Amino acid sequence: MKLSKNTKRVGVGLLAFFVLSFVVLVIHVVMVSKSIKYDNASLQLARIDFKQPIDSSQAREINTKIRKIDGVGNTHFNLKDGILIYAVDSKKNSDQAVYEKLIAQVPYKAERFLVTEEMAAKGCPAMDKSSFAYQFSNTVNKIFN
Amino acid sequence: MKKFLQAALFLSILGGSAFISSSCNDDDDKPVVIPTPTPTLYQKLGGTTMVPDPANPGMTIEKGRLGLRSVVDSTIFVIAGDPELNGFFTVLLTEVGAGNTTGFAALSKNLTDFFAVGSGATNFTYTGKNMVAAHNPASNSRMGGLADNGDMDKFIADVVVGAQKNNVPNNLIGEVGALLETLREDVVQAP
Repeated sequence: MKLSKNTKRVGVGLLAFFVLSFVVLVIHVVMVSKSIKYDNASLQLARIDFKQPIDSSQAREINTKIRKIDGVGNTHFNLKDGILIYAVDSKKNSDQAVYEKLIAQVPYKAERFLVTEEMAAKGCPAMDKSSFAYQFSNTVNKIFN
Repeated sequence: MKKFLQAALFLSILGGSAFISSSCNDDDDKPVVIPTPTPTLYQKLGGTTMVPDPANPGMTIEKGRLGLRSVVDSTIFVIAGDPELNGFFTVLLTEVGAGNTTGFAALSKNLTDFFAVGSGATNFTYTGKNMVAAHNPASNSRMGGLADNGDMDKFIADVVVGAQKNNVPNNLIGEVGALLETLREDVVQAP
């Protein structure tokens, strides 16, 4: 099918518009991402639920052992409910590896708390990793930042 | 004519004396008291004095913001371990993998910005939802339900624990609590 000159011009114009819009969007994502600074960006919070009563001296023992594991920062132990919260630098270690290393060192029954998909869809902060906007921004950031 | 001039001279002297005496009134010696502005909560926490940032070696941070961030971070730990509240914050514990911004980092920044602006900081902005929208499931689908007064009380109690972990003086903890109380009507939407 032979296209008229005008049709071709309109087509090229539209194509240029979309390409330019895409480039502007990418630049915008890069600029905005660069201006947002997160402190402790790689600090991952994790939770261990102890399935038996833990007293204060046992909690001290657990705290001492977990803080010696590579990448672990601060911890918080809710003695009343047997919940241990710890932070691990995701660049140095994973919370699963930390959990496995700790459990190997202490004789207490415990379970690693895992976030289900349903839990991840609710609550603060609002990080919808399944959204197109999140995935697009993440991809652009990985390339340019 | 002579009498007129004499009268004019007398009145001029009288008027001049009155003018001079009013200019030299004792009241002019009294200092003008300009009331000292009451420091904001942010200023009491350290204000804009720059100090080393323990989270970013080699960089500095406003002392007021550092104080608030420390309290916020400790509070997040307390909330994550509190069964009465951690259901609202489970995303905190979602593993995001190395190199990605964690839920903890995102919430820490969000809350620190909010408290900084609320306590009088001028170099930061809060870009999140307002408290009404943030706690209304209709405008924030991530809000699993309506918060009630018990939830708000527990949140404030956890903030107090976080502040105590950072040795914040009791009087400033009281001011933080008062600040949070101003949000109760916006946050508590359960009947």
